[in-house]
Amino acid sequence: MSYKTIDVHVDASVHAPARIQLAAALANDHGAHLIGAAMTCISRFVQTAGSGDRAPSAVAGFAEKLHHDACQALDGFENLARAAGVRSWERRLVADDPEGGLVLLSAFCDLLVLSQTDPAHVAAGAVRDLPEFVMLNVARPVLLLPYASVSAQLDGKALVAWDGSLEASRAVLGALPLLGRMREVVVVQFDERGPGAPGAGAADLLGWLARHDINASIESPTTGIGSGEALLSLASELHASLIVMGGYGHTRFRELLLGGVTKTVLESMTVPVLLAH
Amino acid sequence: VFNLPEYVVLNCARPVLIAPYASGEYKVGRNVLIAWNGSKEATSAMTSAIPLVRGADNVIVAMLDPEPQDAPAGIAPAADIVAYLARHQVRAITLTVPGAAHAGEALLSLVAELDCDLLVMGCYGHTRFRELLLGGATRAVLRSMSVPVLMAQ
Repeated sequence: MSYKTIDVHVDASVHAPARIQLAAALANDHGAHLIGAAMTCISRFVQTAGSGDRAPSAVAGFAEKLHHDACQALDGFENLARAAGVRSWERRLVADDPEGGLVLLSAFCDLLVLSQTDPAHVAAGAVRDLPEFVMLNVARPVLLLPYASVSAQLDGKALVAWDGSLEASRAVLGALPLLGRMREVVVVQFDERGPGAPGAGAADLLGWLARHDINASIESPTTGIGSGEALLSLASELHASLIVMGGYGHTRFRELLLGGVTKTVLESMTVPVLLAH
Repeated sequence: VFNLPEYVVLNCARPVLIAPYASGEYKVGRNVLIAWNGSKEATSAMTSAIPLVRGADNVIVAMLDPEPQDAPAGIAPAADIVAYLARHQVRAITLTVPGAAHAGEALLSLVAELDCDLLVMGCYGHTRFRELLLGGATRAVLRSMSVPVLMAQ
């Protein structure tokens, strides 16, 4: 399935321009409609709890400022979308907090583009674990861009971290349109039983990818990649410019084990990561 | 009671097309009913149905009991769904269906009333609380379906 609607998170962050530019390039590549989504940062539940349609007067000034900031961020989005020559785009102001707004909007898009949380630039009212929250609560793939640096294009080599799980299976499905445009796709068997352990079906995955016109190879690392650090160093060893992986939270037992990998990758990633839960 | 279709849907990351046991020749996907309630499962099901319903004569998105607080200013689920599907070359209309207490029965009677030949819906299991509430619809449909059903988790 192709990407026909791409949502990009628009905010006042220093990383927003690079994020919007990459989303715009993706929209152009895939012939997709681009939605720039800015949130007012006031929960919809707060707004509906009031008697009127405005927040109580004590915080009205603050709400006004947040609204103004969101509109200004959307102006920035509009300029970048125009400059990139995106054929079809729209600005969307959602009266909700970032996590709630992005989750609700995700139902009407094929791909969400967000940035990794930058500990040095956490904006007022921002949610530190926004990428993790969104990834765990949407039925869509999330493309997460590193705060360190983002190249303007996604090509080169993709690393698919494959452990045969539901999450990995969703991630590779959600990444298909991206994988089709990469120069090289490497499937890395990601199994805590050690490299080359049988049963995870990497060979069948290759067949499935081939029927989608994606020629991938299997890489068996000499050391296991059962940790986030190992996965990231393998990605840099292979010069991968995209990582595709299942994402896990920390609530349930099996996620407690695997959530550590996700957490490390979310903290230390230096290339774009496509995640699905 | 072990239920194979339900087990498979709940344990894989792909849509599952379930054929009814009632005999008949099925022309899948001329008149399609997509059940949507804003959940992840319903959203997955809707998207996974796109390749199957692109050539359909009618695609109706039944919006089950949409709660007003679920749509803050800036989001209009009915309009957003129609636009989303249109960008995938699927022409759809929406229909608001109140009374989610018996969503399964409501869907089955809509299928009969509108003469649908494919039902698309999210599948909910029975373990967690919200699945306890929503799993009933899945069970009711799996028990009494008379047309093919595309389910996704």
